[in-house]
Amino acid sequence: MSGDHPISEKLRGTLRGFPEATIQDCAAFQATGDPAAFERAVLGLVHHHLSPKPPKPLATYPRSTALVAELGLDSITMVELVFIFEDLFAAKLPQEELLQVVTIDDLLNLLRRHLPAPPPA
Amino acid sequence: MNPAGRQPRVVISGLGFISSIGNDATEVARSLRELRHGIAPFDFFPGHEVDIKVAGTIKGFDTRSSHHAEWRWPERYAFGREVLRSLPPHGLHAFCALEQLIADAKLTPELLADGETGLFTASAGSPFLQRERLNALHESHGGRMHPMGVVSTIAGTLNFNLAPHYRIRGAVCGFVSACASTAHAIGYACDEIRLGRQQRIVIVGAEDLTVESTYSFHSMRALSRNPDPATASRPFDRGRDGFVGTGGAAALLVESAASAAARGAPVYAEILGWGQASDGYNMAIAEPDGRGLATAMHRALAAAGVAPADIGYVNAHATSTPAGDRSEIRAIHTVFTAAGARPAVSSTKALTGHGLSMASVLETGFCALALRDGFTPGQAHLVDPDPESAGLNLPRTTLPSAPDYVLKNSSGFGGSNVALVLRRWTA
Repeated sequence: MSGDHPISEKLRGTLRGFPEATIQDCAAFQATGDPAAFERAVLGLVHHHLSPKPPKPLATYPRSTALVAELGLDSITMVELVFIFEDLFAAKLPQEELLQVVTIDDLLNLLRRHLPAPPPA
Repeated sequence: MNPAGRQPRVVISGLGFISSIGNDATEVARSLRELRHGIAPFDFFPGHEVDIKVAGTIKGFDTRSSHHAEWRWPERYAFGREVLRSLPPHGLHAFCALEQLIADAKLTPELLADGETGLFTASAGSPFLQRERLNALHESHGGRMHPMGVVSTIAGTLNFNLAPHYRIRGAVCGFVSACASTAHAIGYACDEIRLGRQQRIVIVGAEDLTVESTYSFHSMRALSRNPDPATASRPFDRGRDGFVGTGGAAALLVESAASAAARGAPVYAEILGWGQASDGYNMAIAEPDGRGLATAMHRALAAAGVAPADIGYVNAHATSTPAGDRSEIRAIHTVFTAAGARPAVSSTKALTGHGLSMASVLETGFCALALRDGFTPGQAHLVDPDPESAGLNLPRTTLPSAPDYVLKNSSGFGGSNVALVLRRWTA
């Protein structure tokens, strides 16, 4: 979990029902552009959408873990995640690139490609 | 057909309620016996003075938010994000009512998934949630589309959510005949079982209680403007001025008697037959003489093999609107008074308010409780009977015994009329 960063009303609204740690990570990334906060935020968002929950924290899984085949994410849940990502990261994720996403790494890389420039240090 | 070539007997073998007069069968039965209403002040537009001031409120729940993370419900029900994410407010109520039914009817996950269990539902969908989702869609010029925007809001949302969660693999569909919807669902469920296509069918009706689902009926001046919760809903009274809206959910299991007996499920009542007929008259107003409803009742009695004089209680559709109640009074005169029969008549909507497409399954559930527990609900809030009701038996208090036979009326927009005939269960 990242340190204390201001959490906007919009962020709170988008992440209603999410764990506080994930909300903090999203706020930290929005404030600093910190790549580590970004990864924690994305993994937290994915974890919140998984059912059943994986037995271990998502951060301990290899980044080559398949979202659908190994973590049980279905296609409609993937669309829910995209809805959240687009809102949080002000990004537009092209459908054709989404269809290529298989692993955790693929997802992180897709998001990185479409993130707006990080805020100045 | 069963192996002997005879049609199976059909029974009601499970119930569940999230209603303005109680959130389980015990509480509901007590409210019915004591004629305790569930109508309360309701703020449709907080901070604004509006014409409609009361509703049949659901206690112990808060579903005012468009986001499920902000909903509150009784602790005995546990639902995760994966269930809640695609539900409208009334979907939460439906899940709770169905959980009660499953426990009551002793249904196991295996029985729910055995292909012999079906699910018939009705709701108007959720215009409240739909408005939120569609506003976001318009404001973003097509850029922001909530992934659950369709499945959580359109009519059919109950089927979409309940059937997969409980792995129901039998006949699954929804009914759309407005306030007769769940009466149609019960009738067609009986047919499915009699034809040997299913052993049991779960009926679920539910509605949002919101500006969009409820207050919108004020546009045609159908709602009561009476601010007094104790008298706003008064079917058959000369002072009635419209219906009081309510939401929530009701669930009822229609099952072959043999299947219920094999499991040791509680049997509340037998469903003997049903009938339907349409007014062919007006999109919203009941035909003044109640001819369609009278035909539906005659057909139900014929299907059940029961004479008007056999019926001891009529649970009326009467919603407390001037025209609708008068039409039903005339229909009851046509079927019963003309045949020299004088069953007790009451509308339990005086207690609950009008639950729209949920109303029929809710009130058939009330009849099932009355038949099992041995009482006949009286006509609450009746002070000055409509002169046309002269000759009808409208008991002002609950009677301490159950009739042998009950007839349940339902009518919906467009003039759809359905009547069901129930009998006190004897094995």
